[in-house]
Amino acid sequence: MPFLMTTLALALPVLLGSLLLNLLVPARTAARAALVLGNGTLIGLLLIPQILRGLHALGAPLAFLPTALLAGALITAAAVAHLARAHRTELTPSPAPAGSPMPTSHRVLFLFIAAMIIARVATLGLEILWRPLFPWDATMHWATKAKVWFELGWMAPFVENHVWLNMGGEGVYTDRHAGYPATIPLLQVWMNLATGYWDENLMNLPWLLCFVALGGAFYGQLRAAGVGALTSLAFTYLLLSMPLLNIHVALAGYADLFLGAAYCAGLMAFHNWLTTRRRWQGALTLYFALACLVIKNEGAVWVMTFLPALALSVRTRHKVAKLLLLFVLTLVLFAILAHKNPVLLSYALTHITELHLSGFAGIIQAIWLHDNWHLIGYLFAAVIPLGLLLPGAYTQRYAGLVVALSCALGLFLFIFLFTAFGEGASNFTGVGRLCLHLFPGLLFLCALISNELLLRDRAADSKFEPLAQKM
Amino acid sequence: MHAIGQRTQLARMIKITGWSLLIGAAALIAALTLFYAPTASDSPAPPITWGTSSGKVIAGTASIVDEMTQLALNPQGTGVVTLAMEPVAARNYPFVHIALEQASSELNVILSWNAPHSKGASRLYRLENKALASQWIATTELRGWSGDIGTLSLVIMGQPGETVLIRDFSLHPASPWRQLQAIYSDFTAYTSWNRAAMNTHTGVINVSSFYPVPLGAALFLLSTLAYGALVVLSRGKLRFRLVNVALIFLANWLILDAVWQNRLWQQLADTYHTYAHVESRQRRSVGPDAPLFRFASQVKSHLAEDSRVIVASNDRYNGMRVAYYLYPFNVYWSVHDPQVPFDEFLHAGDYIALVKPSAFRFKGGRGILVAPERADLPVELVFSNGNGTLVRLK
Repeated sequence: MPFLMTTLALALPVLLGSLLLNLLVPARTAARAALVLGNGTLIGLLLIPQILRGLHALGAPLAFLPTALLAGALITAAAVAHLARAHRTELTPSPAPAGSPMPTSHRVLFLFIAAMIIARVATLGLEILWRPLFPWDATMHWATKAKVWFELGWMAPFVENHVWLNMGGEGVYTDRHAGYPATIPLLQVWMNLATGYWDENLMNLPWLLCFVALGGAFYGQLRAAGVGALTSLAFTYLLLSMPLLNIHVALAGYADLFLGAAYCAGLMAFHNWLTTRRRWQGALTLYFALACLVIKNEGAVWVMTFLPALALSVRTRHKVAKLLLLFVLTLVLFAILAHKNPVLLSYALTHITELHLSGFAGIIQAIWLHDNWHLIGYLFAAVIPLGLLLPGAYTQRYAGLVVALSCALGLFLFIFLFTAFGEGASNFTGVGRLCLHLFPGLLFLCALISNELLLRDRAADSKFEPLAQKM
Repeated sequence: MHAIGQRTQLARMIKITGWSLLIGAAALIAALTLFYAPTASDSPAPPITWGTSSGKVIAGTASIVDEMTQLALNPQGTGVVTLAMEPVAARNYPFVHIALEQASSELNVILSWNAPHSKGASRLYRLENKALASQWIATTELRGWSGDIGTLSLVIMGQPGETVLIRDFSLHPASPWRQLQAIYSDFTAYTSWNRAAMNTHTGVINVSSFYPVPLGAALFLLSTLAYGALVVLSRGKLRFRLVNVALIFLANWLILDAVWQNRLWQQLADTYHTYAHVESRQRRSVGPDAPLFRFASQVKSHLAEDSRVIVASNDRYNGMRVAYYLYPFNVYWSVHDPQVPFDEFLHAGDYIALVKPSAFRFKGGRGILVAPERADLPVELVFSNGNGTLVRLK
């Protein structure tokens, strides 16, 4: 029974997000299945806690059945809408999607890489299934809320230590970070509600799902951006084999994996929306940007990076209008941030310090010396300058992505070099986790540039081949 | 025809990538063994190897099994063997080889050494690498491995009566092959998850000579240079193609990833051994947190539904973990504020769980809780055991 209920609890977010997204994504999109399942699963994983929360706000206790029924109703509606559309499409058949078949040699390499990814998923999954909740912050301020809410059946308020003392603990609970968003604890509550008991292994399976979904979304969006299947899968493998990312799955319990996945999914959709102007990519961008706000407080900082990129993308010839739009959007976001998390904002403003050189050394070590990310630091250092050789790459084709990522990197460096959080880089307590938020998106940019470089090289090669044969 | 052409092209691509990697690897090995190897002494020092006839058993009982030494730990769970040797210059022995069989992952193995005729404390290194089947340690990375060494011992701590097979325990002079073996040992080293695992994965242990990532980058660079050289030497038959560079990069990534995957598998085996045999809801009763969990469970059995419980400990980890186990009771545990809140915030009937180590002391005779720099608190004892004490405010 626990196995069945756990499967159901995992299947519902997958079906919910995927079937909803399935309605939006055109039939002839490249790697549609990966795109829909990857992004859809991420959507579902982040939507289920909001449904739980919404029902709770309406006065219902935290319970599996009402949430499952509502999710089931949405799934049914999406499935019916899909079938109706499929029926209409059947009456007016469209030609099968064109695509050159992959050569056998490429297929062998493709299958080899896919097998490596599957092996990784199995290893990480078993670690989740066997080891009880392990990481520090998970038992300090994430699962604490989940445990209380699950056991009580309602979302008892969590307050800071001093508030708890002043209130004498009456009707309130406290932990180390009472103000963190409820999404991740509610996801754990959801898993436990399914089994009916507190299970520190099964409740962490959504982390594995998030990992797989990130891979699917990454592969799907690369394919949607026109990258070949083999190159897309190779970069997906690079993403899914990064050690610190793997650790955040194996030792599930932190929100950083979800934030990294949502930010990356938002950036990828944003890039493809800018280049294709397809509305569903725009909708995905908006969804994942908003999702960043409800996963972890730092998400608000990353959401801000979309604003300058968005302002650049507005199709107006008036630069003043663009700047005005940027200004208004920034004000709106600051207002949201100040309202949602005044502590974070005041922290940012009051903790500015002089340059931390130790923070700089910490960043260098974390990226280029330690094995947090394998060779990714070297890949960035090689590919991003090479992108300058591609005319219009940074100023036109990838401009939006580059602006957003540059802002994110600027903020990342500012946080660790010019604020009191510099210690998080010098003692490695913060730098790795913030890299986890940024590196999937950076790797996506790298994949696009690498693909373009390889294609140009191949084009040059095809000119060279006849000459070589003559020789 | 087209497919055959593609196959030929791919075969050529793999061939040239393979050669580039081989040349790059050879260049890297040459660089590591020529420029980064410990300097050999002028007069070659012979290896010093453990044997029952050429060593001493200080603690535990040794016997010969299959030409190996079987060491049975003493009733205190300790076994100590010492290499029989004349005092030697530390710099002449840059490598130690330790190979143990039937060693459980819970076993603690310590390398201990002294200067000749030294009456001071021994220098110690607790082996972090739990892959004990064979490991080479670069002694140049050991803190305090200098001057002359009078005694070198292996201290093994485990369960009383536990047996370990010592396949090898030896000191070795410098050689390129041993340098490579030490690097291999570092790369295949296994240490279990630690508390910093979520923040950083260095890929090394304290005695590692090299970080794997810069070595991987060096191999990539050297292989790419080798590829460039092959292109130049081909006199126009080969063209420098980015796809080959990409393949070289991917191969280097795979090598680093194989090291990481190996570590993950070892961890998985360890996790399986510790937890898989226990039903999921009982897993807290095994593993490193078990004493804290047992203490918290005992505390819970004394609490009423609406009890407030304050967790105090000088050890941040212990306090935090016990607080977590106590939820959904109304728990107070603070990192920066006083461990036990000031008197005006305390109520009669509040429970205080003192998790060891704690600065608070319960004085049973007087029924008070004594803490440095604050007034004593009147309390009654609920229970006390090796992991902590539960008191209730009067």
